[in-house]
Amino acid sequence: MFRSTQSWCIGIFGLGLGCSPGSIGDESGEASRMAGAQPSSPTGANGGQGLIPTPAPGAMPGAPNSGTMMQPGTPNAPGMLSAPVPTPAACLGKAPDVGFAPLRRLTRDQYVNAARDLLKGTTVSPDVLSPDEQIGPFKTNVVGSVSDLVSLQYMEAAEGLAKAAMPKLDAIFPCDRMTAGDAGCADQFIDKVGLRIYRRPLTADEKARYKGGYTTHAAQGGYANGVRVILSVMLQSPNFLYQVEQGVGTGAVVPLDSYSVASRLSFFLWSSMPDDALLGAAAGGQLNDPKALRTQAERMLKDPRAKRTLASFHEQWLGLGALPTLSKDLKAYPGFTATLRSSMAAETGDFADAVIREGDGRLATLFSAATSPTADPALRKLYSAGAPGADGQVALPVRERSGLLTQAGFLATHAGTNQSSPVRRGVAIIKNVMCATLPDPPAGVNAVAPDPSPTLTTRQRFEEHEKSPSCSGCHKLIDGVGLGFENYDGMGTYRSTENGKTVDSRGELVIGDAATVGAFSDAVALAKKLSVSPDVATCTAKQWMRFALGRGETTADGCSVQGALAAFTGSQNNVRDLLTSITTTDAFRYRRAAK
Amino acid sequence: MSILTKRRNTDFSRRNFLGSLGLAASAGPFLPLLNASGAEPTVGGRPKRLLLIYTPHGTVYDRWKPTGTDAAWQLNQINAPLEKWKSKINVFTGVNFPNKGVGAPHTKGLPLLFTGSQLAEDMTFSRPDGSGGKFFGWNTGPSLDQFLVQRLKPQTLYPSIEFGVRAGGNNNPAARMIYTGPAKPLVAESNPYAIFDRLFTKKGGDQLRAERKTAIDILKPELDALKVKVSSEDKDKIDAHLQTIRAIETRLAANAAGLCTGQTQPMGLQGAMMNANAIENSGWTMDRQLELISMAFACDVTRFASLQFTVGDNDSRPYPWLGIMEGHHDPLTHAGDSDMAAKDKMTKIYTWYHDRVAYLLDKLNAVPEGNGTLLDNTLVIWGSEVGKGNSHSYDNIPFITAGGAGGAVRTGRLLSANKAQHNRILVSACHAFGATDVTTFGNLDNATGPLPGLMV
Repeated sequence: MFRSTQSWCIGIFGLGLGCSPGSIGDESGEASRMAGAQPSSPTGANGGQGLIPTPAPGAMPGAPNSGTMMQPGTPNAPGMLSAPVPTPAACLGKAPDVGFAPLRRLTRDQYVNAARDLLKGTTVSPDVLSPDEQIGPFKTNVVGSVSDLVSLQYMEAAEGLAKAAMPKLDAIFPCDRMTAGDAGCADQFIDKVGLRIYRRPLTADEKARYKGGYTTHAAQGGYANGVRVILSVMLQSPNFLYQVEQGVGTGAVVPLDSYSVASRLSFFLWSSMPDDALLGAAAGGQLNDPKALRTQAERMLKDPRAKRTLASFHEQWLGLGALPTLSKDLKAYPGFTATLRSSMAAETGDFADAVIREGDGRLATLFSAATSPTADPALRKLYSAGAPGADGQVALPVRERSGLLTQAGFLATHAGTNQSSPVRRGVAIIKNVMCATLPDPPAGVNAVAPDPSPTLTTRQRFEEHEKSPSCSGCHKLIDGVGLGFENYDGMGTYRSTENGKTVDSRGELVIGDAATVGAFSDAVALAKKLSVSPDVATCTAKQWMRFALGRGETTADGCSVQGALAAFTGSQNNVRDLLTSITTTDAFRYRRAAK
Repeated sequence: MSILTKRRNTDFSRRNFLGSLGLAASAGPFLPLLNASGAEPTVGGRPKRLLLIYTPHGTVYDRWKPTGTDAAWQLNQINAPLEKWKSKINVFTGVNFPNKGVGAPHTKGLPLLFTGSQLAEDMTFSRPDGSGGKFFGWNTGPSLDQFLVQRLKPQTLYPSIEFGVRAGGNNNPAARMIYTGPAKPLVAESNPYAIFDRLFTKKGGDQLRAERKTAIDILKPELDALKVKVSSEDKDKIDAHLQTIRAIETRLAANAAGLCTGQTQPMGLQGAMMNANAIENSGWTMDRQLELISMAFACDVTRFASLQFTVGDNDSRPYPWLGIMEGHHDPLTHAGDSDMAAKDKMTKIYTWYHDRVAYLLDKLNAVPEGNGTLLDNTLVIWGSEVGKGNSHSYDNIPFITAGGAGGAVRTGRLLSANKAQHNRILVSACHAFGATDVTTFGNLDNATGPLPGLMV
């Protein structure tokens, strides 16, 4: 089937990375890149037929399928922007509503950060745990259940953490054993450390079980041994590993209890567990009040722990997960060292933190500032930039750089190993930054990438897309954006010529609002357009919402999206206001009892 | 260590073999671990084993396809390392994948390989705004090994073990090959040190076992309590978690009996600790995993195993241990067919896969069992997720089997599938393990019965 025609859509299969909010970075980019549908060709495999072959008699495994999973859908059209947001009038006075939120297991980052915060710096490498699931570009473990191996990994990680924490026990949990006695201190440990780990007070049954475990192991190795064992068990408890949420009262849609809100807040804004102040506010029942919630959110955004979330969101949103282990053809890019890769990855998070937490907070600045916080001379050299100023920021050439999308990390990740990639860059921006749809490439395409040529520019090599009728539909959209980035080679270095020819960096956005659509001269001009685009602002608000909730929004969340978006646009697209507003939406504060 | 080392295996006793692996031969590894059920076929008192192997991105078919006919055939350049095992392998030409359902070729191909089933058409891996697209989810069937595990219920310490080499990837179908059922993938373990510790050592001894017993005694009632607390949609997740804790508990009790535990690591794991996940160490990791597979089979720790070398999607990583610094998938497999330099490099990679499989067969054949060897009682099935990387062809998927499955499968054959789907090989494997009532395997099967000419 894939060889049946000669159409030739360069680099979609296997080359394009991150077609989506479905973009799944690194090694598995294709899974989500291909998140679109079976091609709509009437001669396609599904044309006119049911999707499920009738199982033959004697068919054993896998047949028949669950019918509910196999509803034929409508193939998505290229460039369709995501679902519209309800109007403010439509949301006025509406009763609280919220989509169903499946049980979330902590992501690896959340686990590692929580351990670090609890154990005063002691933690494990995320690599000891199995990789996270993703929905859209965002890591969230809501679909699958744990396997034996994953459970065992949790057990081993918890044992290791508890052991490593013991030399610091007095700092982690100070207790005067002379006064309180070993058993008294153990009781306090179960109360206080248990509260941090479970993010709620333990029940009497839970306490009794831990006390029993403590007693058994203290009898063999003393107080520290008993505490170590129960700490290890707490860290593999489902009450630690999952965000267990409780509603107040009965009904289809009920408010979350204060402790559940505290967990949502901290895992959203800090990518970690709540601190004592937040748990104190939860104990006082203060988190049911939107005003108090906003105060907490503002406090938390000022805390350095918020940087984890800002870095993590931008890494996932822009599909940069593969960057730390990205390989390039070193003949083409000898300077692409491991150190430079890490500096690129760090730059995006540091930049987002500098703008959102320390700076004016505005979306426009994220897409237009020609500054870099990097301390790496090699990365400064790549940018042809000088030394950092007193504020630690490096001024970049304003005609060459404009915010996140012209950072080397984005450009290098969305590129080939030995060349740039208009397709990858175009797809990442259309899907992740504009929240627009892209279908699968047609069946029967040959995904052979044209090799770099000593005489042609990339644009000339990619003109094939425009010629082929089966490709041009999507590629007018994709390449129109991606070719605008031809001033940057495969590792993000600026170039004005390629193979002795002047680079043509013009592009055209064929979708989007009136402020966005149309021709542009280069990536800097495109970034400036996107920086003030209402569509990009809407997409940004939705992406933050998905990140915060760990799930996609449903129609029941429409007014929550509307509320967050209104606060965002009402603050000149200040991301700080967006984040605090998300915490006061129904979607964040309420819970639907069942699907 | 060269795999071409000539060694007479016939006088190599099991005791010596296990000793060389660092296992206490007196630990009784030959007895069924728990009371074995009679469900599983055994040959000469030894059980049959199944090993599923995946390597990425097909092959260079014209350098892989053997020449000649079944009556007289010769291996080609890429599979030449298997020459010494020619009488114990089968090479299959003209095997096709069913090219149906949602998902891109690499993504759906990896789970399709051993499930014969398509990806679910649901929203699991999709943009989350529900704007009307058709998207994809997990695979919709069990893989061959898990189907047989559920059928035969082997009473071993582990019902199955999923080995990997950089097989973590992201948690999506392009990186998950093995499924216990629809949307229930198992992740492979890519760290040989961790596998050795779990399988063959009494790690931490009695103290650790006592601590884990405490943990299990606390975790079980907590999970029971949670089941009541969470919404009905989430009960399955908590239930599954509880099952894993029970499985750990069972193994804890079995391990306490001291069966098949040794104190010494195999030679390869001794010495300075290696980062098993580093790209440059992947060749090393591959060999350690192959050794651990043969140990696990020899000790009857498990009878069903799989080995996933990297992920189905974009193994765009270099092969520095072969002197290849370009990524395999991109740019190499995306080069045009006429690019001879790329073809030669890919040939080197594919030949290395065969070289390592030959090493595995060396190990399996070195364990005497009855009148034959462990290899004779094993069925190895090896395939890929596409036929070739640039066109993403679902025709001519390279398939090789090794071992006789205890005399159920003929070997030394060059078999043409005549464009039959690979589901025929999966059904053949079911028959080799006694599940002869199985006529189709997977929901994309388009025919019935085993592949003609394969079964004895």
